Amino acid sequence: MREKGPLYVLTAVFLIVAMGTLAGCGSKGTGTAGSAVKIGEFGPLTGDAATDGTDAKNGATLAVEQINAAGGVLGSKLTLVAMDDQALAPEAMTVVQKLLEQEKVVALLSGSYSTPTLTVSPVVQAAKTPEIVEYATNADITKGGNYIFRTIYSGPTQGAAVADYAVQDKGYKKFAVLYTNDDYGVGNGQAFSAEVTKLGGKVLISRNYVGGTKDFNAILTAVKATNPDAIYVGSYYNEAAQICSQAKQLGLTAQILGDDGFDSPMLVQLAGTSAEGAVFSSPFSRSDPRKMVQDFITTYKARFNADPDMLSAQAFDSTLVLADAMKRANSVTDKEAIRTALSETKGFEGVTGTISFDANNEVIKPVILMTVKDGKFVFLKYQTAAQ
Amino acid sequence: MEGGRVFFQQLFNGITIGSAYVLIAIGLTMIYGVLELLHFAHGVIYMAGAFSALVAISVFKADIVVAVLVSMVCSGIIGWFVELFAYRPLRNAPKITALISGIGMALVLENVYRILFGAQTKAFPSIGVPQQTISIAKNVSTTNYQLLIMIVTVILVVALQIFLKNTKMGLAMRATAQDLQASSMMGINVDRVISVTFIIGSALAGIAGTFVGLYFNAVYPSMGSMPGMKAFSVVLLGGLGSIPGTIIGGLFLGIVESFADGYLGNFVVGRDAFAFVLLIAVLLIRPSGLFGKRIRKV
Repeated sequence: MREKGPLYVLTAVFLIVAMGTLAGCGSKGTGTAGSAVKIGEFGPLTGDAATDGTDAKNGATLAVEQINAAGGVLGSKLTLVAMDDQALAPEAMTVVQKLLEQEKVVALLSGSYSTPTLTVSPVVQAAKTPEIVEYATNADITKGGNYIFRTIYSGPTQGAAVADYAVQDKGYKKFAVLYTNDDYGVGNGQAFSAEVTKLGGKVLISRNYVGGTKDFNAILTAVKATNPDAIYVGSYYNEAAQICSQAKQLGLTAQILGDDGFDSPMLVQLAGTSAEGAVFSSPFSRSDPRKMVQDFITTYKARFNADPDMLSAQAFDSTLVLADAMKRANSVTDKEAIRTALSETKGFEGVTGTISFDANNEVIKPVILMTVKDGKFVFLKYQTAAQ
Repeated sequence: MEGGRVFFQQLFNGITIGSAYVLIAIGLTMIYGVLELLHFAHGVIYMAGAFSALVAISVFKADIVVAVLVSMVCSGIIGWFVELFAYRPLRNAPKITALISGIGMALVLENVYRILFGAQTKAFPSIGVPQQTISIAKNVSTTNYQLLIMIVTVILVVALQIFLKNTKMGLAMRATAQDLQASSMMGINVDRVISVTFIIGSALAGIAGTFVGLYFNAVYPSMGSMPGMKAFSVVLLGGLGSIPGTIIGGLFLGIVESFADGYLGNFVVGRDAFAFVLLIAVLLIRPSGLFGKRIRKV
């Protein structure tokens, strides 16, 4: 029996490898041969960020369905191939390579966070595939190359806009800046601090923390001791919700200012009434009276049984911009022509505003400030971004 | 005098978190005491307790007291099962085999919960006991939840000590912790003692999970991994098998983390690093911990 042991092990290993390869081949996505044009999307569909990734995917899906219902692009139907990257850089790398090499998508949509999007930028640029970044705001993403476009204003733009509002509109002078120590939070936090200082305000205390932190009592106690007028939070909704509720428990009455990471139904669900009155930047206003916006909200709700958030809106617009560029390039396969058409996008009307791309492939559209009133997100004002 | 008030505030924050660490670590140290085994699945039991409370409150509309009791019972039962399936069959195998079995159990349980509940963070529905800020002195405040955690921890720890000192089972547990073979030869039902140890330790972890879940209003399947690992740090700091050591270690870690967060600037690795820096320091300088028996290897 002893000598047969290694043989059993080898057989087991062989079987496992064979099954793994077959399983990998199986997940080829919805691609059937034909005139369907494939657009790839990657984002967190599982894990702690799954709400964001799923909302984005839903927005893109709705856009694709509407485009196809109207006859598709240049007669071809669009197919959205969405893959899960769990908001992790290595996973993003894997799925993007799959999308580029196996699925052979003609364009990519990033429905993911800053870190994964930043990581895959060089690969996307090298593959000369046009990519539209739906909501990742790290400034370096578009510096990856001219094939990468972004339909949301970058972190620095948002942070600066909120800073302008805080100092010029509200007259706040003393600030505490808290942000997540990742590619998203650092950009926002630093831009806010820089702009506030430039306008004559003072940042009394600045702290960062790892994403996933739940206990902010110690940090907020230190913040309370400096007695700031306002606290800027450069984080996603999980940390933002904790900060809001723990600040309230500590008796901190400073105004809470935030970034677009606040824009999620989970914020109010996790923070409850402590989120009341918070002001944050966001690319999407639900009370925008334009017909396009209200139709979007209604159809999204009917299709997915949930209210759209800014991620869905961004994804929706990004898909529409892509389809529009394909029409203007008069091609659904020529990546270079599509890229050129994208860079020429001017005044395209989307649910998040009028979209144009500047020379750096960054979007030019007004920053929207929202506030939380009675547990709902309400439009506050347009803030001219300080660029 | 502002500095003094901030100091006490941070101290309060630290004691609250420290109390949660104490509750988790006590079970761990008791289990090590009787089985000489590092029980890696302890973190998931903490998480299971939190989920039991979440289900009790969301689905069965229980109030907070009932939910806490439910979580105690549920995690006690799960802990008992873990011992029965992951450790008992390996009682006579090398310790490392049992260790690996525990790790495997932890992975399986965490992923079962992930499949059942999804990986997203879940909030408790509003229970009607909102967090209230209670002022103690000028500028030093605490919340009712913080006080609850501290008081309940004290009650549980005292109750545990009374149980261990004054009951027959407690005596049996102490004897088994001293020497398993000898106790067995003296007629103590060692299997039962071990089961009881697991049940009590797991129930305490479950309560800790429930409290932390309520306190941060966040319950998710991976919530047990970091506290579980920090609990090891606490257990080692206090001395393997020593309950007083664990109490001091847990409070110490909580306070250190709070002060570091509050007073020190931004560090590259984050406050979680402290627990593990402490762990390495203990292993290097004094492996037996504060109150442990002098041991040559862990």
